[in-house]
Amino acid sequence: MKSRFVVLLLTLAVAAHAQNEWPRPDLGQAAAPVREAVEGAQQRMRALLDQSDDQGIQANAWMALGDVYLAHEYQPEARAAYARAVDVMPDRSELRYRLALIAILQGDDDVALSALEESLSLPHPDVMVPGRVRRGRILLDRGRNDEALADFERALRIDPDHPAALEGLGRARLALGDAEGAIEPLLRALELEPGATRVYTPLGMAFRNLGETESARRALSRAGEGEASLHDPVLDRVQALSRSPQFFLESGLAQADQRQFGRAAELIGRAVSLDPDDPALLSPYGQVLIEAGLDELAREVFKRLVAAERMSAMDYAYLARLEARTGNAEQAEQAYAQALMSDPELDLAREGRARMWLAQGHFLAAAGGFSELAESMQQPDLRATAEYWLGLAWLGDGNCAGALAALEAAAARVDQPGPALLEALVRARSTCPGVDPNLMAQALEWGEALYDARPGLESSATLAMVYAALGRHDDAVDLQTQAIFEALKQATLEARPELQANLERYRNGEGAERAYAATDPVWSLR
Amino acid sequence: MLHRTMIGLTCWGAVSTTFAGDRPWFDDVTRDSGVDFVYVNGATGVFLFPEIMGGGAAVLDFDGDGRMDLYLVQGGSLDPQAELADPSRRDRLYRNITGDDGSTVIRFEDVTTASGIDARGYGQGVAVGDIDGDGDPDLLLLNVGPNQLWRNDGNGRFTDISAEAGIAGDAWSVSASIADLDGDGLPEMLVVNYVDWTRETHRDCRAAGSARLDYCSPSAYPPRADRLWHNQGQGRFVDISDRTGLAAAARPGLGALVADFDGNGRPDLYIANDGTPNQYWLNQGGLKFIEDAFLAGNAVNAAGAAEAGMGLDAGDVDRNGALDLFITHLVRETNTLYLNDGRGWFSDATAASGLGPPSLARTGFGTGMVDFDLDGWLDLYVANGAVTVDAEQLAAGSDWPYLQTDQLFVNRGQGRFEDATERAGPALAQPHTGRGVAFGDFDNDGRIDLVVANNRGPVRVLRNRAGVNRHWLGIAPDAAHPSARPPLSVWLLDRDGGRAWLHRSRTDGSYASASDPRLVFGLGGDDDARSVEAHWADGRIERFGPLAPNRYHSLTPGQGVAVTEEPEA
Repeated sequence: MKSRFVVLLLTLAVAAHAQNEWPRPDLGQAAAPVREAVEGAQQRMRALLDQSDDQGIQANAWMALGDVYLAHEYQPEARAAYARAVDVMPDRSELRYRLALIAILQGDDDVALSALEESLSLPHPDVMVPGRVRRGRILLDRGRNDEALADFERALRIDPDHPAALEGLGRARLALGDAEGAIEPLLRALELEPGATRVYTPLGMAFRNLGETESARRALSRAGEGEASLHDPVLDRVQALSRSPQFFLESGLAQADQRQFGRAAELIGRAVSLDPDDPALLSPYGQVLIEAGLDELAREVFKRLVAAERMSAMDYAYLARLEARTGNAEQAEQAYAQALMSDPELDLAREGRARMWLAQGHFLAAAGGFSELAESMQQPDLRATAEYWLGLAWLGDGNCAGALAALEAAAARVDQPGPALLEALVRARSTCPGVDPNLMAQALEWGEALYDARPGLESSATLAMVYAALGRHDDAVDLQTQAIFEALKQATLEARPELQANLERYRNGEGAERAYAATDPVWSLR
Repeated sequence: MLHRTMIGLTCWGAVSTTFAGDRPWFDDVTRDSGVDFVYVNGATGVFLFPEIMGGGAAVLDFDGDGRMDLYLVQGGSLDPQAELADPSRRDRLYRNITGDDGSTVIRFEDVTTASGIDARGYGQGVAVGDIDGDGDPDLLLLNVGPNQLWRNDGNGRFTDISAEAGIAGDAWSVSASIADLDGDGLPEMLVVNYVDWTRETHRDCRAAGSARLDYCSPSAYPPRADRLWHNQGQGRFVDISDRTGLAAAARPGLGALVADFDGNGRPDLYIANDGTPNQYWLNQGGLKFIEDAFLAGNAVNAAGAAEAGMGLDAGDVDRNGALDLFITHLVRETNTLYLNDGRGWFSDATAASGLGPPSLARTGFGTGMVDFDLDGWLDLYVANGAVTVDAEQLAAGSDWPYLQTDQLFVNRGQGRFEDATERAGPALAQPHTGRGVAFGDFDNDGRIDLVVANNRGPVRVLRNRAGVNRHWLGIAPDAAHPSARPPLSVWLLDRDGGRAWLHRSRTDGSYASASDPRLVFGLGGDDDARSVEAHWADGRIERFGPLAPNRYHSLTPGQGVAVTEEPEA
C-alpha cells in the first residue's frame, strides 16, 4: 500500500514537472534588448498560467510566448510553445497557421502544407487569404498547378486586389501553359504594387513564351527582388514584437533595395534605437537617411560615425552628397576627397563629385570626371548614364561637338533611351549648329513623343526649342507660352528667366541660344 | 609527354559481376582506398567567412596511365600565425594504383612530395585543364588570396608557373573553368570570384533576427568581379575581363561551367551566383560575350527570386538534345532545374521535376549529372552541408552544428526525378558538411564513382555499384589533340544514325571541383555496338563506330568519318 502511494506521488510529481517544463531558448549570446523581450514574455506567460486554468487564457499565453520566440528567430522553441497552445485548444486556426509559418521558415513544406490545410479548415479572417496564397505557392513549387490555381482564385474572391494572390494566379496560369492568361493578373499585381519587381520575371517569361521578345526584354529589364505583399496580419503582429536590431536592419535594407527609403529609414532607425552604440547600424542608417532626404538627422548620424572613426569610403561619399546638396561645397569636396582616397574606384564618389561640379558650373572639370567614369563603365546602361551627364557638362561648357558625341553615343548604347536622355539630345540638336536634317527630323519626332507622353513645362519648352530650330516659329511661340503658363502655375517663373528670353527669341524668328540655361533645374543636385 | 594507351583499357568487374538482391548503389571505400584526408578550416569561433566555404577535389589522370588520380584541396587557418605553426597542412595528390595488386579494390597512394606540388594557400577549389597543350592536365588552385597555376611537366612532377602566367590575383576564388573559348587550341581560364573579404575587413554577423554569432551571408561584403584570362601560349595569360564585360558585372560567384548551350558551336559561360541573379554569357565569337540570363530564363527562378547558387552541372536530362542546367541552393530554397528548349532558352522546371521539396531542408553544394545506374538517363548527386548553425544540432551539444546528409536523385525520364537517397545505401546516411564533389571512374568499370570533399571533415571516396548487368559505352577524347579537350559535345547515335543522346565531356561544374572528362553512355540492356558523333572544338564533326560496349574508346580528331552538316547556329 505504502509503495503504491509512493508510486502515485512520484507519478503525480513527474506529471506536474512535465507540465511545468516549457521551451526556453539559450539567450547566452542574445543582444540585451532581445534578452529583455524574451524574459519579459516568459514572465508574463508564467503569470498568466498561474492565474488561470481557463483554456482560452492558457492557449493565448502559450501563443504569446511563441510569438515572441518567433519574432526573435527561436524557431524550435516557438514551435514547442505553439504546439502547447494547440494541445490546449486544437480548433484555433491561427495557432495551426503559426505552426505552418515555422515549417515554411524551416523549409519543411510537407509539414507546412498539412498545417495550412488544418488551419484553412477552421475559418479565421486573418488566415483565409494569406493561408491560401501560401498554400498555393507550395503547390506551385510541387507542380500541382491546378490546385494552386484554385487557391489563388479563391483568395482573390475574398480580396480581389491582393498583390501576392494576383502574382500567384499569373504564375499558375503560366505553369499551365496559358501565357496569355498570365499577363493580366501579373500586370495588375504590378499596378497595385510597383515595387513588386520580382513579378517582372514571370511576366517576361509569359511574353517570351508568346514570342514577344521585345516585350519580354522590357519586362525583364525591370526585374528585381521586390516581393508582392502577402498582407499577412499574423506575421505582421509577430514581427512587430521584435526587439532585435539585426531584424530591423535586415528589414530596412530590404526596403532600401526596393528604393522605399522612408520606410527603410524607419526600420533601421528602430534598430539603432535598440542598439545606439553599434557603428555597424549607424552606417546604413546614415545612408538611407540621405536617400530619404532626411538631411539633418543624417548629419547627426555621420557626426557620430566620424567621432567613432568608423567612416568608410561609402560613408564619406554619402556625406559628401549631403554636404553638396545643402550647399556646403568645401565640406563636400573634402568628403569626396576622403572617399576617393580610401577607394579611388568608388563610382558613387566619382559620379557625385562630377555632378557637384556640374551644379557649381565647373563644366570642364565635370566633363573630365564624367569622361573618366564613362570610360571605366563596361555595362551599357551605366556607361550611357555617364555619357548623358558628360553630354550635359559639354553643353554647359558650350562644347557642341563634345555634347553631341556623348549624347549620341549614350542613345546608341541602350535599347530604349529614357526621357531625360531624349530631352537632352533633342535640345542639343536644336541649339548646336550643322545638325543633319534627318537627325533634326528625328529630334522633332522625339520632342513630340515626349510632349505627348507627359505634357508639361519641360516638354513644352523642349518641343518649342526644336520647332524654333526648324523655323516653325509660330508653333515655337505657342509651345513656349504654354511652358511659361506651366511655370506660372508652379510659381517658378521668376526662377526661370530663360523661358521669357526664349519666347522673345522665337517671336523674333530666332532659335534658342542654349540647350539649358544656367537657371535650368537640370543642373540641380536634387 | 606520356603515351596514353586508353584503347583496350582493362575493365575490372565490368558486366559479368552479379549481385544478389537489391544492393546499395554506393560503397564508402575511403578506408581501404588509402585516402586519408580531412579538410581543415581553422575555425576558432570567430566565424571568419571563408572557413565555411571550402573545399574541393579534382579527378584527373595526371600521369597518363589511364587511371584517374585524385587531387584534394586543403584549407588551413586564416590566422597567419597559425599557418606558420603547421607546415604539414597542404593539398594532396594521390596516384591511382587500382589493380596494381591484382585486385579490384580502388586504391591510391600519396605522391604529393614526389610531384613537387607545395600548395599552402587557404584552399577553396581546383580546376583542371591542359593550359600548355602538351596533353597533360594542369592544375589551377583557387584560394582566398593568390591563386596558383601548376603546370604538369609530364614526368609525375608539377611546376608552379603562377608568376609567369600572371594569374595569381588577390581575390577569394572558389571555382573555375578552363576551356578554349576562341577556337585557337589554347584554353582560357574563367575564374569565379566571390566577395571582397579580408581578415582586416571581417565583420561579425549574427543569425537572422537573433544575436548569436554565425557565418555571414555574401550580402555582408561587396562582390568581386570574375576574371577571364586569355591564353597567349607559353604559359602566359592576359586578363580580358574588362573588355569582355565580366569585370563590370561583379556578383558573388561560386559555380562556373562552360558549354555550348545554344548549339552554335561556340562554348558559352554560365556562372552560378550566391544570392544574386546568375549570369549566362553567350559567346559571339572573337572573345565577345553578351550576358543574357534573364531573357534566357536561367538568371532567377520561376518566381523571379535570385537564389543562393553554389554548385551546378549541365547535361541533357530529358534527352531532347540540349544541355540543361541544375543548380544547388541554400536551405529554404529549392535546388533548381532549368530545361533547355534547344535554342539556349531555359524554363524553370523544378516544380514538375520533383527535385524541389526534398532540397528545401538542405543547403546543396557540389553536384553532378551522371547516369549512375546506366539506364540511359542522367541522375543527380548533391553534396549537402549547412552554412549557418543548425539550431537543433547546437541544442544537442554539437561542436560543429553544420552537418547534413547528401542526396541521390534518380531520373525517371523526361526530366522527372525521384529521391533515391535511401537506395544509395549507408554511404549517404552519415551527415557531413558537404562541399565539392568530383566524379570519375576510378576502376574503369563504366560506373562513375565519386569523391566528396567535406568541410571540417574527411574526404570520402564512394564506389559506384549500381547498374548491375547493364551495358555502357565509354568515350575518352584524345587529350593529346587540342580539338579534343573539354568542353566537347558527343552524341550517342541510334541505329538509324540519328542523334539519340547528347553528353558533355567536361572537367568543370559541381562546386570547387573538377571531374573525369571521359563520357559514359548508359545503354541499359542493349549490348549492341553503337556509333557516336563528336563535335570537336575546331568545329569539325566526326562519327566513330560502331564501337563495342563495356569499354572505353579513345577518339582522336581526324580519325573518324567527317560529317558535313554544320552545327545549328
